[in-house]
Amino acid sequence: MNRRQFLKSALFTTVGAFILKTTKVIATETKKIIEKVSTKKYKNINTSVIGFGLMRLPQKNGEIDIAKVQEMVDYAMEHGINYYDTAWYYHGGKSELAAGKVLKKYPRNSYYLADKLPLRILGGKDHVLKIFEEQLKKCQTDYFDFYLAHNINKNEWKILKECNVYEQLSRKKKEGKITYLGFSIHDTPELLEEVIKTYKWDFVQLPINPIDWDMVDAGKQYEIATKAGLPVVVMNPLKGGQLSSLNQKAVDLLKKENPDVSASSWSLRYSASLPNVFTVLSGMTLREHVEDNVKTFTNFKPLNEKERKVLSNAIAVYNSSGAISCTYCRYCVGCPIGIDIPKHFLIYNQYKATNRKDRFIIGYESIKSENRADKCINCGLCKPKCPQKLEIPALLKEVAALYKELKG
Amino acid sequence: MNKGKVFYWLRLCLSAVILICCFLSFTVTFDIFAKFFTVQLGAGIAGLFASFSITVLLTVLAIIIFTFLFGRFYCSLICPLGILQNFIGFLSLKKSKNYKNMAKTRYTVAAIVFGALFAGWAVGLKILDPYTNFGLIASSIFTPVYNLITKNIHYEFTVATLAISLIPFVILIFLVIFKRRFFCTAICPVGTLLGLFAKYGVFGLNISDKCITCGACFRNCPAGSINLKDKKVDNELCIRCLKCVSVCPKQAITYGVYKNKKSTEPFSPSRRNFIFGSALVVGGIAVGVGSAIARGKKFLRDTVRALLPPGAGNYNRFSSKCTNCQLCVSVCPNKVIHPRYFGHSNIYMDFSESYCKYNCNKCSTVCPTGAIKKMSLEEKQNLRIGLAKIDRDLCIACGICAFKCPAKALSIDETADGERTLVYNAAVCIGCGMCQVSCPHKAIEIVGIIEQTTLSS
Repeated sequence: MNRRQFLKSALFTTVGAFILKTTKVIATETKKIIEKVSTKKYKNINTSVIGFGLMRLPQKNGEIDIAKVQEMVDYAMEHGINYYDTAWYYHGGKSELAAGKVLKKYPRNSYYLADKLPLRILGGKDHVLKIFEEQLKKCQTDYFDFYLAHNINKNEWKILKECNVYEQLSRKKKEGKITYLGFSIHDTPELLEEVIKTYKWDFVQLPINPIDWDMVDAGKQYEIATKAGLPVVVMNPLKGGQLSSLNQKAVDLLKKENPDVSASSWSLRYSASLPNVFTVLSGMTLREHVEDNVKTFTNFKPLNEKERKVLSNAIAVYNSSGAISCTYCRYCVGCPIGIDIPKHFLIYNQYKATNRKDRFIIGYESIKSENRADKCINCGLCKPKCPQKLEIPALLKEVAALYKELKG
Repeated sequence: MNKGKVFYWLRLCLSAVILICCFLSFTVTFDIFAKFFTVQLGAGIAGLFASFSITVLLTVLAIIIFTFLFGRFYCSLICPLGILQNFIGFLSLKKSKNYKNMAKTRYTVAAIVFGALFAGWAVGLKILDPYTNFGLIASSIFTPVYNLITKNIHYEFTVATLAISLIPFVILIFLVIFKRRFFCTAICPVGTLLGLFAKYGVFGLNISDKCITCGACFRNCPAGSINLKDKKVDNELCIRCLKCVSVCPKQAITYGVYKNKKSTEPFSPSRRNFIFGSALVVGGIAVGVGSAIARGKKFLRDTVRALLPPGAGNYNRFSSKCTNCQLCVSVCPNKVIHPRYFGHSNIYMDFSESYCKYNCNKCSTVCPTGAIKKMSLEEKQNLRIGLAKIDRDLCIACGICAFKCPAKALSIDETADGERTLVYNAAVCIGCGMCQVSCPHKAIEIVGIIEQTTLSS
């Protein structure tokens, strides 16, 4: 190689490297223009169709793993998810604290925060504002965009009226501490109608998913809310994760239609397709959940007729597998015998979905023997707490019987 | 008779009366005296951690201030184990011995005991608290004898209870015979604590110039607190038995403002000694705290179902706070609380023969450590300690349990065609055991729960 050749090649390499680098930079720059999730109009604001539920956060050693939550929320904020939903009950009161910690770094007007008043533990009229003030402090904020009376049922409806909850919260609304006042309910259409009629609300939070639509009158309740002109926030769209796993047969049906999307995306789109729904809350535990939800709701399109049919077929297949319709919301905790009810149902449902005997036995035996389903004394203290109205003692008996049968 | 003798005998008689009352409080008939045990320092300090209240704090402070002012009268007048040792001491060989001042031992022991207590585990007091040991001796030796003699309540010695309580008793007798009040001056963590306050106390025993160095006081002092060379009574060790005052032929020992004479010996707690001693104390606290934390990691993670007296909270809390004095076992009028010497919890409830009386909260009022929280009768009647498990195959819906249930948790439902079923409303059940005892078909069993809960009315 002579001098000239050397210079030439050296020049070419430098120029080549430079061009390569600039294209790379340009490529990443263009990549940075992030596509955001679709939004829906609610009154005069735009909420992301998918909302971030803070009830099933990742945990480490029994505590919420804040670092991981931060990472998830950062990803969500970056992709335009702007609705965050927490409550007093979630994670034993720690969810509100986590919400305060992870959202602190964003300007307050860049996201909407929803919190709920725990009706069940109200001991008197003066508790309402005390709890409300504490919630503001825990969430490190001056106001809530959305505030709900949490989980109204027969008993809590009585408490709500007795403790002047609505009046006190309306006052807070006038003061600007609450932007929109609503309620969440897991009860009968009749009670829903009564609650709507008694007070004037801004929105309602309903459990809607393809299983409950017919099974527990969720459809009827949606109709009632729509007729009354109340916009709906959807909770429980995946029935506590049941709809994201389903069973193999049902998943096969969905995969055949569209191999690229997850099972959960189907049910989320199902709820989001309803015209009167402005956001669908999904309790996210893993970064993958956030990523998948972002993928589902970027350029969101409602389910078309054909997709609707495929989904309802898959649900029919799943329903016939005999799973318990527990949403693992853990409202039932506090069994005096120490039975972890949702854990039993989860193990049972996984068995029904996969038919794996060994996994069921390992799961069941991982529970301490004095806290297993067969120790249930049928006291029924858990029954009034269950929003799904499950016959928990009878179902526990079934789980125990299955173990006995499989164990031989 | 000189003045010293009068004081000594007065003190001795008073001690005797108190000791008898202490023994009697471990019986159902005289449990009124059990109130006396609220002025036990060990139990009081444990109570500060188990269920804090201003009364307990004031009691503890009162004992400490009294001791600071007047010395360890507590050990000869209030502590039942101290008085018991006093009387066992009459068997002792009356030879003099120059007892060593076991300062390092007692500081280390006390550091471990209180270290563990601060970290939430009362194990040190369970083994070494004088009141607890007295309780163990009284409840498993004295109480059964008393009950047999008075034919009051059927009560049997059991091998386990006897064996376990005899161990501290026999050790104590040996210690007293050969080393007199070795327990009080070298082991007892409560005594060590009191000693620290008495050391710099206001009043004490002084030896005046009338002393002829005959050595009578030295030979008779059970605590080894007299230094003949310096003519000095060590206020830290003196347990105020007043024996020296009574035996002194010249009446040279008088009670008054304590003159803390400088020792003529070359100063013994040298720098090295002091550092070594503090290291022991710090090490002891570390051992205590560490063991309590280790236990927490190992055993307290799990929730455990248990049937415990009303006010115990839950198994883990109770097993960490109870010092095993057995007072509740002795005073329970229905004998449903039983001692258990093995395992974490020291007692358990058994409803196979009797039930927990609805109109009784005795165990909660007597518990000196607060392991069973103080609660009013009304609070106790609203506290769930267990739940009924009904065997529907055995139940014939006779309705006896429904008739007897004090909480009205059971009822008989009768349909038009005469079919009867037993309806159980768990929401109001407090788990008192009445149904289990009254059921003629053994269809009901009370089961333990993981946490005692107050029912909303």
